[in-house]
Amino acid sequence: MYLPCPCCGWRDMREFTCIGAADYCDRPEADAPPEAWDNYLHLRDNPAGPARDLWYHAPCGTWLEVARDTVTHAVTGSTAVEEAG
Amino acid sequence: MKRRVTGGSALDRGRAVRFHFDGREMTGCRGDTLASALLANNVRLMGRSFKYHRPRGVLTAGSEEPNALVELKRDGTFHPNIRATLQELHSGLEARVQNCWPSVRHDVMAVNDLFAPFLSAGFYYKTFMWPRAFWERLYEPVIRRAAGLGRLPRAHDESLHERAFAFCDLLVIGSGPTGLMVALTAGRAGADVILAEEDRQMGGRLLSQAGQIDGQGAEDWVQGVLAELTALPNVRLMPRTSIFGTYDGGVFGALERVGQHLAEPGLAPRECYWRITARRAILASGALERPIAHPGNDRPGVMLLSAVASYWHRWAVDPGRVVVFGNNDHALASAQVLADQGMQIAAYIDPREDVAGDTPFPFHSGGEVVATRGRHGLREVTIRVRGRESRIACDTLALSGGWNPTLALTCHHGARPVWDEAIAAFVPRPGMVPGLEAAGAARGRFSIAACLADGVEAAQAALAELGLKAPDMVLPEAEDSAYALRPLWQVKAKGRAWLDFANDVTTKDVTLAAQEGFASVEHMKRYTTQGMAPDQGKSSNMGALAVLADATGGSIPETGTTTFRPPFVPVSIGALGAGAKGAGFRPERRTTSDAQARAMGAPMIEAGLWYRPSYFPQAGDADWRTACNRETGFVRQTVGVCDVSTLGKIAVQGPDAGRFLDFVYTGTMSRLAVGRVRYGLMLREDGHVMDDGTCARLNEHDYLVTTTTAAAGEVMQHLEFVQQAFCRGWQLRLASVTENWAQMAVAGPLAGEVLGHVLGEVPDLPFMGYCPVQIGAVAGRLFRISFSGEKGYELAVPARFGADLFRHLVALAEGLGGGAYGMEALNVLRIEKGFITHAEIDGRVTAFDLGMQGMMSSKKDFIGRAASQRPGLTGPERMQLVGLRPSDPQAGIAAGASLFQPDAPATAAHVEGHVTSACYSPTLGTWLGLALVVNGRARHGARLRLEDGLRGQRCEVSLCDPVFFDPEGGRMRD
Amino acid sequence: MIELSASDPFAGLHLPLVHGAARLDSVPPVRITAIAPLPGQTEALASALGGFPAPGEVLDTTLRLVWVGRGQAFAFGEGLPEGLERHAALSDQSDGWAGAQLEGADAQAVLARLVAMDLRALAVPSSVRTLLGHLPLLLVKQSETAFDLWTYRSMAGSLSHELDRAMRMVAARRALA
Repeated sequence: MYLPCPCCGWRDMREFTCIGAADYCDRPEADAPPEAWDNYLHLRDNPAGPARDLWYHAPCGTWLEVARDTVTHAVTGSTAVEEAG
Repeated sequence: MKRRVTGGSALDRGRAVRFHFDGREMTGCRGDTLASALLANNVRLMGRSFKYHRPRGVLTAGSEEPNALVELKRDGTFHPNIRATLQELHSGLEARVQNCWPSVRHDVMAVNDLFAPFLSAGFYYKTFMWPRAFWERLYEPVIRRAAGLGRLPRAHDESLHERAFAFCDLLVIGSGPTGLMVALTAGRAGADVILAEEDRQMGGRLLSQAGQIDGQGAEDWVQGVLAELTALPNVRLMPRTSIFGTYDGGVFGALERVGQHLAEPGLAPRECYWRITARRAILASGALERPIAHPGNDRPGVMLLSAVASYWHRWAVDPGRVVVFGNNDHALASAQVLADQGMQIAAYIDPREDVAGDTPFPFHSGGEVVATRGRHGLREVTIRVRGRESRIACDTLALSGGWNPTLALTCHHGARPVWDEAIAAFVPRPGMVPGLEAAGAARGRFSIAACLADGVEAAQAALAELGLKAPDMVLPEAEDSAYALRPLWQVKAKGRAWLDFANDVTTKDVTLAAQEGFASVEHMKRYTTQGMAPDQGKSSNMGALAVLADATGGSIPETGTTTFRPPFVPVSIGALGAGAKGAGFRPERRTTSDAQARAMGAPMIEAGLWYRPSYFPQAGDADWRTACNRETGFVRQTVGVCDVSTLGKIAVQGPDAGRFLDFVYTGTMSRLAVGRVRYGLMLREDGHVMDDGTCARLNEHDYLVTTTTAAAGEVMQHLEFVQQAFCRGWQLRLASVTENWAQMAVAGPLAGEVLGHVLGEVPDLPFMGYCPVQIGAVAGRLFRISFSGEKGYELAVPARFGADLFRHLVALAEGLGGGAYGMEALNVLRIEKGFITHAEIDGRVTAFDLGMQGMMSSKKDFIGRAASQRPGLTGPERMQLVGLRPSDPQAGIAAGASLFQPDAPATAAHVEGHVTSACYSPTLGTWLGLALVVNGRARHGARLRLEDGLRGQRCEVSLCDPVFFDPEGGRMRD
Repeated sequence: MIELSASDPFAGLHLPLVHGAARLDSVPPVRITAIAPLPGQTEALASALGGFPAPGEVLDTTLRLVWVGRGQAFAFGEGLPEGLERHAALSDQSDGWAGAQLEGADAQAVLARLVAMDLRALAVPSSVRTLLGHLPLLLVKQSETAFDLWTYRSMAGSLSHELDRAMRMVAARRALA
């Protein structure tokens, strides 16, 4: 399996670490209600189909969001977390 | 040699090769496989079957072989389950049959065959159910002794294996007529091509049959194509390479036999595990002939017709008198060609009523083979033609039940093939694996001409996708006969008819499985073990499906196939793990003082990937504790030196560095003065402690964060995430500088004296202070920090000077009555002081649990702040850090022990806490422990019972403050 | 006051290693400065340095500038211009890395045993951050037959072990042919 690092291009999966859903980038405001924090920390969808994952490319130190399909395993693209919306 | 005719395209007839089989010396030819050489030596009995220990001979001439699995001597030990059909002969080769005792001809376990009526499908499930007490003591040992094919060698596998990566535009799998045309077309187009072939020789079935291509012999045509391909720099030929799996992203697993076939491979690997990444791939793996399940079809001498032809053409093996039992036109044509070439065809039996042929041998249409005879090898077959039985003496029965496209690789991503009624076989659909398409016989195009044409077409399509222009190809002329068959899955007659030869599954077993409710194909497979042997049912799954369909009254496509999973052929674990043993198991990280520590006799212990000295032994030490006590004593009384370079060091630089650190630490670092150091705690976002360490402000915009050894990588990754996700645009950069600096702790009342010798003059540095220093010409860094509770410094120099600095420091310390100390003493020193490590920060503890809630700033947001305040993460119900002292100071305690109320039973429900760290304190003359105990801080003075079920320890302990020694901290401050 | 002497990360590892058509030797010590431009400062930095490498690039100005990771380059050599700290975070990495050069007709074949990348496709010169086996790797392709391989200093032993093993096997294969 290969993943596209926004910095290095397509690289072997062994160079990456998967952290989970990309929701982890959407940190609530410090004073957000507990429900928002609960959602942020613990609640995740489990999509069959298109998904956005958070990966770390250790060799170059880039965090990236990977768009892939959990059914077909197709990897369709990625964005650096630093540059993501 | 009795059974050789002239010729043999694979053989070098002039080169005799001596080998041993089951202790008998034999002679073969260069170019032989073990199977062909054994056949040529008139050895038909090559093994015993798994369950009934029935005599078995070779069925095929390829990697799909279910029967001829032998043990091969290699590097001093016998390796099991070597396929004799794939193993090339070399001089000195030693093989023996497996799964029999005392010999293959007289196998005691063959008694199982007499009990066959009791050993039917599901035998184990039905028999070994009760009484329950027998499971472990009786049934399991018995089953284990009988289970498995071959014996595992007891010794380590010292064979050399290799792993390698390859990349190409187009991977061509198989080198028959289809594969050669694909490679030729793509090679001429300039594509970067890999052509992989399992056999030693390229050419596939063209090597095993007579015939003309473009007016020349098929083999000559193959040689011509290979010559052109060899000359193309953009084409790599990989013979002896089996593609065994398809994976995501165009990745293919392949196994190459590099030295496996050689008498003297030297340092060359036995096998190489290739990972080939291909932009496109074409499966030209051909088709496998299938046997027919008739009574007695497992006797040595019963072979596939294609195998008989291969052994004849390639290895000049004379099969003697041959009866051919085929249900298709290809079989009939093949028998005629073989007869023309001089093979003795005793009879041709075809179940079809409506075929006839002008053959030079007896032709029985509407016939079936209903029985065979011959104890260790076939002597005679009984045929039934239109209800009348007769016997034919013969040496070989050649079966052809039609052909199955070799499509397993297209199914590895989970897609299912479709049923093609015309050829009575499953064929792949396009697009089952992205980037991989089947061509030729692998998708049911069986004539040579169709394969050649399909190869060109498949290559053209792949080239278009690769953006390359396909060359004009002129199709060679070749045989284009039609292929017709009438499926014959089983001959219904008295006696057992085998489907899976390796696992001894008969048609009756499959029928029984259906009757007993295991009617789904996946259930039937597991109930009967059909297809679960090393050959994975390559020659039998199709037949089993058909029998199951018959038994359940469904059609074959309705019944469906079992799941195809990698590997397609057996792959040794040694090959998959090539290089990953010994020093190659994982990287070793060695400090700059490593060589000296080892020279001093220190046993090294692993800390993550690092190696650190455990203690420094001296002559006369009773045990490691003597050394540990001595080293602890150095530090408390004089001075000790310890290499602490393994701690993570991260440079956090830029105008926003302080702001960033405030966000990742619980405390405030932005207000730290330049030249000062502060202890800090980092939380995970879920409110639990991630790591602790110090943070020094080296300059206005330049901080140095230290992490624990264990968490260095995790912390760096975390900081990069926080920076990239939440601090976009901040004037801030992170860099790991762990490896650039060698850092030595100098601790103890005389630490200053040692430093005086090193620096000339010791800077007047307050506790938790930092300053740059010069050691001669070398610029270093001095931190006044302590993990021992004594007056202590850590001196950092560029790593190239680490070894020399350590040497100097140890010599100076020794001169003052101290010396080097290792991890054991370091651990004692920090436990005495109640300092935590990842034994305490185990991922489940909060700052509150550690008594560090005061370090959590309430004036700012930081990672983990919101979650750390939620209910349940603070409060008396939490396990909190405490110290432990046993009532008997000499009662040893160990980490991992559980704590209970004095009278409570030692069960999980009553656990009040556990010991996280423990040591004997020479300073205080007692054992000490750190523990996490429910509501522990409020219970100082309470007595609990310590139970260590693993080590059989039990003692009374009392809870106390975790700082046992110098609680005011005066020793490290002044 | 003492004077400290330097030691080589490959000390005791018996370099150079020569097997068949591949040779491994250590790269002589060189000053390495990590340069990470602060946000918005890349252009200013590039004009001060004579350029700043994009991912995978190696630039030869008065110094050799090698891309080594997200927003970071290593400057190999002495003589860094003054005042760069206004534009970038600088850290000394001269001692953090162990560098060895693998050179010879079989260099690519050896690396194909250890690096999961198609090295034929890389430009000359260029740099890559990847893994060598399980080791972190900074690879600089100097030519089709010469590669500088840098890993953490503490892993020099593992680097040479992995390469030694691969070199021996490639050489043994060649001997079979």
